[in-house]
Amino acid sequence: MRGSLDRKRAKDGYLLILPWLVGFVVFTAGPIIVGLSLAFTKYDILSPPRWAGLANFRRLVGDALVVETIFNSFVITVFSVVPRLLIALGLAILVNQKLRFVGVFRTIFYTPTIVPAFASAILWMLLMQKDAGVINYYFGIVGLSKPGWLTDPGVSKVSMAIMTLFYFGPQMLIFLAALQAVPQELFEAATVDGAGPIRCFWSVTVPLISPAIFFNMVVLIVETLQIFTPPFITTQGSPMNSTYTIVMYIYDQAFSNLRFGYSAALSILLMCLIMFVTWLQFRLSRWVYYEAN
Amino acid sequence: MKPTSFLRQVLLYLALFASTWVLILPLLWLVSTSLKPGGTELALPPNYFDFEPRWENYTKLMTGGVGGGGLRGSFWIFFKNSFIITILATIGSVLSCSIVGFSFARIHFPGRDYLFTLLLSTMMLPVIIQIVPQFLMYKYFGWLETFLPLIIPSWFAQAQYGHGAFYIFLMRQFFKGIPMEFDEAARVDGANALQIYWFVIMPLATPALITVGVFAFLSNWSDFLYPLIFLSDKTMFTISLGIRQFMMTGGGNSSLIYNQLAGASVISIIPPLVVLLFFQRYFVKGTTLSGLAGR
Repeated sequence: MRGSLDRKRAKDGYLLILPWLVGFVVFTAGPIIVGLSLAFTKYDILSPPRWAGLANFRRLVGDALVVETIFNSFVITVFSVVPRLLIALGLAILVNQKLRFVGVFRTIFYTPTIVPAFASAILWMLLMQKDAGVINYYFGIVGLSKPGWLTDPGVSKVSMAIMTLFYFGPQMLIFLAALQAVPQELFEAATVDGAGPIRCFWSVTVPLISPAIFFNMVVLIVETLQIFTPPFITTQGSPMNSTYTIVMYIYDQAFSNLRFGYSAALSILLMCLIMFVTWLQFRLSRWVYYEAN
Repeated sequence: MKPTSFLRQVLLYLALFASTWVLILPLLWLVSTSLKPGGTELALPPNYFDFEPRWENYTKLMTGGVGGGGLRGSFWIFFKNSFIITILATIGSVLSCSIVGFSFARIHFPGRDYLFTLLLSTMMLPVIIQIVPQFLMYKYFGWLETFLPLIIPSWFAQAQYGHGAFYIFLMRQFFKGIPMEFDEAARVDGANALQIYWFVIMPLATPALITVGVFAFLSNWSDFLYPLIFLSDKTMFTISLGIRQFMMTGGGNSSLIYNQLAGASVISIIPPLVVLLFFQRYFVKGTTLSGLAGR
């Protein structure tokens, strides 16, 4: 009797996850398996795929653009993620203060995050013009030299990172939730022991919110390594390929050059890289403090 | 905690207002640019408010074309397309992710934890490795040049960028917080799992449903990559592709009209902004729900 009831419930359980299971097979796992197999073929859509063995991977090893686009994506990621974490944490601390109207500021600070990426790319493209741009106008006023934000290969990667900086909303809220979970008694105890505000921050706050820092870092790195829209809209990878990212390269190989096999091989490389970077962060996560409970 | 001193309060408010200024200024510049007379948009020094606002820039934008084909009133069409896709995909995500989240949260079945780990791991997959083969598959299905690739996956809890898994996770976290007695009582009354989901649990889950709905709305509305790959007929374009088309062709004019380009960007921001203002507390709720902060 009991067993048949359990079986009935298990059947219900499977039945209700069926939408996800079907979707997973058809829209996620299926395409990935197809993609993995395409990497071993030559395929241009017009004629059926032809077996090519490891040719795509051999080609990949000698392709200088692979190294360059991956390098570009990594540099943009570093310039984007580090400041974004600091901004998110700084603003989370600000909106965590016991002040009137602080909730209004929470909403205001989230606003840039809801701006669609293509709209913000257009906005930045206009602001970052070398001679006609507002940013360089103010640079001129304070006596700084005017960089070619989108035309100088030396700064263009930084410009791409700047375009992502305003997207810190979810990270800010995660930090806020973490800050609110820090027990006040710990601050009182630390203050009694003679710790000032800075010491309190480093010795109490940072360790206790370190899981949130770690989580935000992992998510932002995975996300930013796949950056596509800002360079695609503003520079198309120029000047001198300095903003040409790996996802743009994969996109171009598939949809401009109709090299679906090679594009699949590049996708596999990107997946391995992202997995490696994530694994590395977990390996190096000794600094993250988990409460034993 | 000791009461905040007056000086400290002043400094904090200063910091809050300074941050607001930096974050909102670019958006104000965008709005102001969209209302400037033609030819003066990029004039320096930047003029933010000292001009007669040209509201007709928006009329021209909405009734004009995007060039290359003479499609009139095209921004209305793009706006409508984005709306149809966003609404249908959002409803699909809310329904499918809630039903799956319900099962993961409230029914015991063998292999559940393995499947849930599998589900979570799909969030880490790079988008591009899925999207290129998806393109080939939709071509085979004959779905390209329809809205189906942008809507149907959401109905199977596979929202773009691996977000479906995130929504299921949010729903599950919420459902786990509802006492199991509700289900037991309904079972005694002869309700089956589907009835418990729909008649007992769903009415209690409004905050979670709205949270997922808000996130799904924003992510579908703002999307650029998926429409770029799956749509190529201009009459099917979403607002993101429409703006890009306008930018590339100058709206069919000899040179790019900056006030209309800025105006198109402003229009694309309005629906997400309305959603943010109406549902702001659900953003915080969603983050707290995800329970990621403390553990």
